Amino acid sequence: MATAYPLPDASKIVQFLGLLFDGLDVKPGGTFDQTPAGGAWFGVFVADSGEPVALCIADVNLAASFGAAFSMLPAAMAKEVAKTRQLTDVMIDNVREIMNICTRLMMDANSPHLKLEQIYPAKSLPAPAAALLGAPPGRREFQLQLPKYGGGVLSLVTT
Amino acid sequence: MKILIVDDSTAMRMIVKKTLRLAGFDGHEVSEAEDGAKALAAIKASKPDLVLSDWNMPNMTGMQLLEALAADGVKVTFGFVTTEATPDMRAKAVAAGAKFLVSKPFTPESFKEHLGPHIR
Repeated sequence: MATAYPLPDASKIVQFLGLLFDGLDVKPGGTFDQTPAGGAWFGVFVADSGEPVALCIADVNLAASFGAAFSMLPAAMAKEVAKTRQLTDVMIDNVREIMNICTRLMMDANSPHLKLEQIYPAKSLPAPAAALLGAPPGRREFQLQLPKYGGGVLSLVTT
Repeated sequence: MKILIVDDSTAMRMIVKKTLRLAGFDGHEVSEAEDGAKALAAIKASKPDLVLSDWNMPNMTGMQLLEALAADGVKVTFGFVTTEATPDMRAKAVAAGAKFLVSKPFTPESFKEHLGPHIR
């Protein structure tokens, strides 16, 4: 189904997020637990009307890797946090920064404007945003690996 | 050469800095500011040769920064590096004195094209 907001392919993600993480490896596909118990982090993107129109989801392993790698925290911290599912405030800020950048992955010259509204842990995802998971017109998963820090699944959902 | 990168996103400042390096613009003194107001103070204090600014920022937008510099008589080469660039934005940027507007998807090649004439 056609979407108003484009979905990138793996090479576009490497091209863009690779500017933040040297040696980033991205492969299409992957599965993860998107339930409230799964520990994933959800970036909710809204149109100018304020309506949720897209999601950027990092599973708990990727959120931990992003959160640690962006500030060059010890790699062991990413692995520990992936187990406890308790990101520190700094790591949450870092995940927000990265998801904000992901706005650029879901826009092109012809798409409407969207912006990151906020990021949420799975258990706090607002219902209007959670509704996008039902039967989204567009959805792609990717397996990301950050050198030294590990990685996980990134999911992009667009309408 | 002194280059100031102005963007409220830490990640975007990192990406702009990395893209500068990938475009071959190495060896310059690069500093950062996280909004227009902080950039205005930094420009007056350190007198950079080139300012690369986002358009939308809290406190003071890139356009307001450019207008404030003109009002204060501060001469600096100023360009926008921004996600969105409508024809109207481009026209406003040029009218306000911006030398270029690099829009998404910016790449080392687009940096070379737009910034090359202004980096020595």
